Amino acid sequence: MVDLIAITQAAFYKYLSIFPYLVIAYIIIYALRRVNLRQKLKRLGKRHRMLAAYLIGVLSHGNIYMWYPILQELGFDEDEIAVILYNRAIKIPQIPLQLALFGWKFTLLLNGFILATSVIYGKLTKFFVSLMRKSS
Amino acid sequence: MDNSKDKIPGKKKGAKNLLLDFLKLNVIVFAILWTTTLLIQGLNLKEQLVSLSSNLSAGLFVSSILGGLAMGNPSIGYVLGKEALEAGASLPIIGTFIIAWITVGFTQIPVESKYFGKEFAIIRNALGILFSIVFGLIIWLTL
Repeated sequence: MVDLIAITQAAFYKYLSIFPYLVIAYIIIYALRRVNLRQKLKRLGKRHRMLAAYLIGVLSHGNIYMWYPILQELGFDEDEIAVILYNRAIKIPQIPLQLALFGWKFTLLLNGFILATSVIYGKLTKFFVSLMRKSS
Repeated sequence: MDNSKDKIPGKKKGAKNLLLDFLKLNVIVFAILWTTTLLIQGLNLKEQLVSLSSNLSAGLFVSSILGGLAMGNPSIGYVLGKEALEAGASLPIIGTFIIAWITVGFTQIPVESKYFGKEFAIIRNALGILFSIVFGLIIWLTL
């Protein structure tokens, strides 16, 4: 039997833990608009933008809900956004935990796979999204 | 250079619209959290992962879906995966589950759709499932 009150309580506490990140995201967006970072990023070549996306994904932390509005504000292309979101799976502070639980071979394979395939993942995402948009 | 993306579709500048956007996001996030808490409480993930290990192909697919549905800090997923391994789950199943947990997010589709379009949200998550299964196969072949 499902306890709806307990579920609502649990969801509310989770929401409270996410709320500060949402506030931070919108403060960052306001700041980004003031410095016009979107236009500055547009002036970079595609390779530099993809490299920036790759590194942002690996180094970014914090709740993912915070990143959606920020990434939209920055005006990255679909493939770059997909690379960022995929590379976010690399959690450098959690690598010691992965090593302790699963050993170095699994950890190397997991993180290596993500790093090696993220750009392909991004390109495939962009390809299929444009295909889907053309056909609709 | 493509300038069409300089305009964020449907977005108007200004503090009022930013605040409205912020409020909408909060409502969506809470609705998603409530729904997934309801969903996840009904599943017993550790036992599901152990039972999936009996059939590799179906197991990889279902464990990737379970990983995509799960949410929360990835460290929870790692600990759960380790417990399932010790209870008898196979490493390819656990590997697929973990990578799907950290790269796929079905519960985030509504918010992703809002910011990047539903095509992007659906395709990105579908490819995440595919890549998770590929990872599981690589584990099966190598470890």
